[in-house]
Amino acid sequence: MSWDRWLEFLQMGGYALHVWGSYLVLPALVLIELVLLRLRKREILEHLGWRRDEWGRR
Amino acid sequence: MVLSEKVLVQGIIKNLENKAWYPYCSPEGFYPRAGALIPWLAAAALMACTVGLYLGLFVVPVDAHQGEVARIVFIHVPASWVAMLIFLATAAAAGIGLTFNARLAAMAAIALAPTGLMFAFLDLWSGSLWDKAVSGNWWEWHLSTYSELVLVSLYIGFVGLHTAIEDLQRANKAGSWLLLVGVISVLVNLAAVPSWTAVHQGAPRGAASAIGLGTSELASLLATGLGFVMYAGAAALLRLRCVILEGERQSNWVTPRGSATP
Repeated sequence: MSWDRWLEFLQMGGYALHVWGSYLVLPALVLIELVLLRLRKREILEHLGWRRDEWGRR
Repeated sequence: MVLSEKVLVQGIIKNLENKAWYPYCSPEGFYPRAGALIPWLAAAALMACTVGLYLGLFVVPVDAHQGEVARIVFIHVPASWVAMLIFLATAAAAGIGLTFNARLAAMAAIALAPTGLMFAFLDLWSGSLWDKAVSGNWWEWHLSTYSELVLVSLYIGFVGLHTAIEDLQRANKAGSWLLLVGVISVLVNLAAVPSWTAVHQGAPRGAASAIGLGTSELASLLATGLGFVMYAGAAALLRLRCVILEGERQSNWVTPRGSATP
């Protein structure tokens, strides 16, 4: 696509805020969830004294 | 044919009797298996979401009535489906935990709920933006918007109730009751959604025309929905592994007797 077409696409017929506001919340929420999960995992592993998680651990 | 079916059924029964599925029912046996599954689910989720969102943003033609803003449907509707599906799965897991006193099922319920809440919020958020674009108001008293709000509240209520009760057994039981009662609300929502004209901006536009017309629209919705389901599976399994370790930290397989860890 040419630059103008891209610009037109990003403008979403004047509804850029609504359309991209809906879509970009998804990666933001996913990122927040994965970071929280990573922190939770680290906390419990530290508590248990496991240096790292071994999938095959018994 | 009859013989082979008989052999198949006998094989299944034998398998059940062999207790080959038992390892999947205990937290200890499930833990490594869940870990092995997560990368595959995550990769599949990424692919399916990429395909679905690409179709929705680039391939599907501009909606004749609403224009580009109707593209919100391709994230709003899959999020709505998956938020309801996860709620039913959470309630089913909690119900199994309640009736059979199965620890892993109760753990699965509390592991699923936050991801379900995420999709319920996405559903509510995108629905609100869509309402704003089409009618000028952030909030419209449609049955579907109302059910979305109830679904978000139920998720928050379940997680809050579970967190507020310190005794794990009691927390599981109380939470299960809330979820099982909440299923009614989800069934109302499911009953509301097919009547698109009554629910979505009062005309066969947007959602309705997207579903009524063309295969690219349907393919987009299904691919994104499938991707969301697999992402929810991966995230819930990640959380379930944390919940398992937290809940089982006293047991021998997590903390072997005689080791220095508390």
